[in-house]
Amino acid sequence: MEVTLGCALLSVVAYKAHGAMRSASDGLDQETQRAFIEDQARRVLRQVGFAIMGSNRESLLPSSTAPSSTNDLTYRVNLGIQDGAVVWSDLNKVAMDPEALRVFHATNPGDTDEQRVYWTNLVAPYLEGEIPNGMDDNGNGLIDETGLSFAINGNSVTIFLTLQRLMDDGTSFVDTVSTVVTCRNLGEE
Amino acid sequence: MRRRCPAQRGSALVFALITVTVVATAGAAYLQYTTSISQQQVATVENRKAFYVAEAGLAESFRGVRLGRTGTLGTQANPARFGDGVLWVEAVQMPTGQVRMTSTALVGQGRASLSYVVQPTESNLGIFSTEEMVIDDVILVDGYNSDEGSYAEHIPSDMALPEPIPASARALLSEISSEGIPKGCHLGYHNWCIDRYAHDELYGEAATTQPIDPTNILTAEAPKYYLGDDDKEDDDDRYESQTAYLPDSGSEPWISYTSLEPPSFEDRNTGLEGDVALWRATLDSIYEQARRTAQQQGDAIPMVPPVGNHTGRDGLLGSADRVTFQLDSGEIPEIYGDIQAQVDFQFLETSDSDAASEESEDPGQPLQATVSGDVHGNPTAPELPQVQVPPIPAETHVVQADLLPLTIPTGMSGYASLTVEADAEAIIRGPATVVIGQLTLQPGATLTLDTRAGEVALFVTEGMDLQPGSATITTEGPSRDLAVQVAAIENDAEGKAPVQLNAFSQFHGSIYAPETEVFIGSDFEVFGRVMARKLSFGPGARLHVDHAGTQGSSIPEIISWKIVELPAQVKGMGRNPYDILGVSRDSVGLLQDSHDLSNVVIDISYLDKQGVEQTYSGVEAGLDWDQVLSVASVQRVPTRKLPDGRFAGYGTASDNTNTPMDPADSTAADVPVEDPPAAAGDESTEEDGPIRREVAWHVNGGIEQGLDGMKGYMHSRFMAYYAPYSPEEWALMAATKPLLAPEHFQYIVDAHTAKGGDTSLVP
Repeated sequence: MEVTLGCALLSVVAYKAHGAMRSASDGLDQETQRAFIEDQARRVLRQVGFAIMGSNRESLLPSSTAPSSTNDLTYRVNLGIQDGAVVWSDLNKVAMDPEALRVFHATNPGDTDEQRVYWTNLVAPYLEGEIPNGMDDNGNGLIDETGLSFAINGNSVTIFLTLQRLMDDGTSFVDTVSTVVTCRNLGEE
Repeated sequence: MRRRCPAQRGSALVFALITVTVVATAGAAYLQYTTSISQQQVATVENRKAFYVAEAGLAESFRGVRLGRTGTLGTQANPARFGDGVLWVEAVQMPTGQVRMTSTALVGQGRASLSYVVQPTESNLGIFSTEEMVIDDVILVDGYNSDEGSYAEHIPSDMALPEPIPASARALLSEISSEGIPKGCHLGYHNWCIDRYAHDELYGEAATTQPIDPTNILTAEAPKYYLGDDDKEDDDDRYESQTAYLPDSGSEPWISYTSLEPPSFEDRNTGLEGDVALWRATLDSIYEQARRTAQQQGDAIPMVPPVGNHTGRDGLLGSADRVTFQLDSGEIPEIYGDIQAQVDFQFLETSDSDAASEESEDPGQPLQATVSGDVHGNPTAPELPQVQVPPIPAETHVVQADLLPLTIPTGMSGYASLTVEADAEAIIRGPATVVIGQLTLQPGATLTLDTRAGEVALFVTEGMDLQPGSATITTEGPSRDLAVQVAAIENDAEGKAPVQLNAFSQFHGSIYAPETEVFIGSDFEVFGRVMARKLSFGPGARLHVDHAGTQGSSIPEIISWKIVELPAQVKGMGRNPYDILGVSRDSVGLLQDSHDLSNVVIDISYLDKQGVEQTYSGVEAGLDWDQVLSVASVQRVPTRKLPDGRFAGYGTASDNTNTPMDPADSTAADVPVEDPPAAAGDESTEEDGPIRREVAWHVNGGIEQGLDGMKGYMHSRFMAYYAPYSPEEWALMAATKPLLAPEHFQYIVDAHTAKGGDTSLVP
């Protein structure tokens, strides 16, 4: 009898402990995913921002201004000074691959020697709150903007980025970040 | 009660221990994870802070360069404190004259290193006075860039058409026709003016008294003239008689040319020395002349003449004080560009032409001046460095009255005074540096400043009186080719400005008189820049600011911004920047107090906290700013660190040509800035500062003169020291040796030897 009672109590305790552990694990997992998404979103945003900061404003293409936007940006970066003149890099590109939902940085885009580095594969097809309906659904001034979007205003570029991770249970973690960076190099190429 | 089997004792403890262990492990893992996340977030924040702190360092360094400082802020061993971190900025001048600023910041474990490359730019102040500028008549100010074309080419095509001549102006022209046209100028549609002397010599005619046919205004047979640009006979040289017609109404004006037999080559060059100067006068100047003639004769002036064609842009009028418009009704100055000063407007009520004007301020009166650009105060009042007159002996008094022109040769010349009398001419040929005590052009006299072969630097030390009816001819081209610099001269007892520019001229050059008042007459049309202590203008003055070689701003141009690699010493992962750098937090100064002033020479007059007037000349680091109550005047002499570790100076008011300095010479930094001695034999035996200054003076002047032309002695005073010369520098001096007086060159060698320099390469 005592053994039976003991086992029953132990089972209850074990079940509760398992539940608690599972709940904690789930919470930890969610927290982990959220932190991961947030961290990656900020890291990618910072990389994109630094790339644009050091670029030549004159080289930025395409020049999309709100309410239109673009999900790719081609530019040249400042490699240094030689004989008093800035040496500009080959073409660089930061873009979103809408099919693979990845953000990549490419050098010599379109050439045979194009090299790509993928910065994230969690980009959302559209920015958070936006659906492709020809309207500005999320109120950020852009229409049907994708998960990575650029809008140029003068020497400044507004960058929007939404990362999203879908879990097996159907839940998703989404983080949207944005920033405005100004091109520091305004001279002619 | 049944006793528990001894073998079962303590089993609960096992469970408890396992449970505690599991929970503790999970807790520790979670704690570690959250700590890791937190650290990542802190690192991200600190990196971002470091980035912006580094940007703040660049901004402060940039401001320092703009103020004439080195741009260096602190050092790695002695950084500056800003926000939560520390930073230092190293500024190095590159051989191209650009300044590379590298800012490194540490905030916690955040690190950032950014670099700027900036191009210090020559400040273009346009038409500028340090004292209040009063504009009491109609003037025109606009701008152009002689590097991009002539002034005429900058005039919009729809404005460049000849303007209709109003009937009143015709009447005035008719009046003066009986008096003859002002010397040096002939009327015609194109209004070519020929050097009067050249014309007289060639054709024996009184070119200045061609009458105008009053029945057909502006129809006059212009003198036969020669159009050529040198003493060589070219295919495009023309010898023509020109008649310009401007019908009373209706059809367009036209010109009739009659080809003439060219004079013989010998005739053409007799007495001319290849100097046939042509320049173009505009109809507007004729209008102005007519107006003034009528005014002088007491006739009514029926209209304010039009200011004429203009570029419609890029003018720049400024004052370190304010610009005051004191105008009669209907007088509207036209400023096509910016005014960089505080602007006052005072409306003059005039009861009649003879009565004294009654001045009244009417704040409700709208600004009666056309200003197409911005009107704003100067964020930093520009300071004009003193003129440094080169030590060229100037003891001869010369009165030029001969028919043959007085030609001042290339190179260096000096005159105690130069007076050009009526019908006489003096010619200064570049490249030349000429020091003149008193320069006077009497009516009918001509001064030609010929910069076709090189730049001309004219220094005036006692006064400049270009009287009405005289002419000053300059070469049309970049205004930087001609610089007239005026030393400090007091006004006379009657308060008259010591620089009177009343000659008829289209003056392509700059006038720099930072301590002297300058009057620009109506006929003295300026294509360039004018900087003076005080400026006043005759009615209808036309001032065209030349922006060649400048950006119209003293703000250095940012060439490059770049994220650069961190210095190896700060790549560690330590948390405390002070520990990493090995400095005490208490010893670290604030950002704004960390400018490197050890190689900035300053001239300052100020009131100290006891109200006593003080002056200080020397390195800025030696000045205790805490004792300064108010500053009367200040001038900084910036220097830059070259990649090879030496320092070089450049002037904020001139170009970026440098004379090397030796930072390792500790005594050099203590040498006060003084005027150079008049001659090499005058060197002081106190210290060796004046000796160095003398040396640097001549070297600087010689090299600039020889290689780059007269690029402004304005900044010569900045070259207070000399360095042991490199073979390349000796080569430069050797190349310019002919332009240096032998005793000067020998003096350089002697001083260099005394300094311990290697003279084995001395040419």
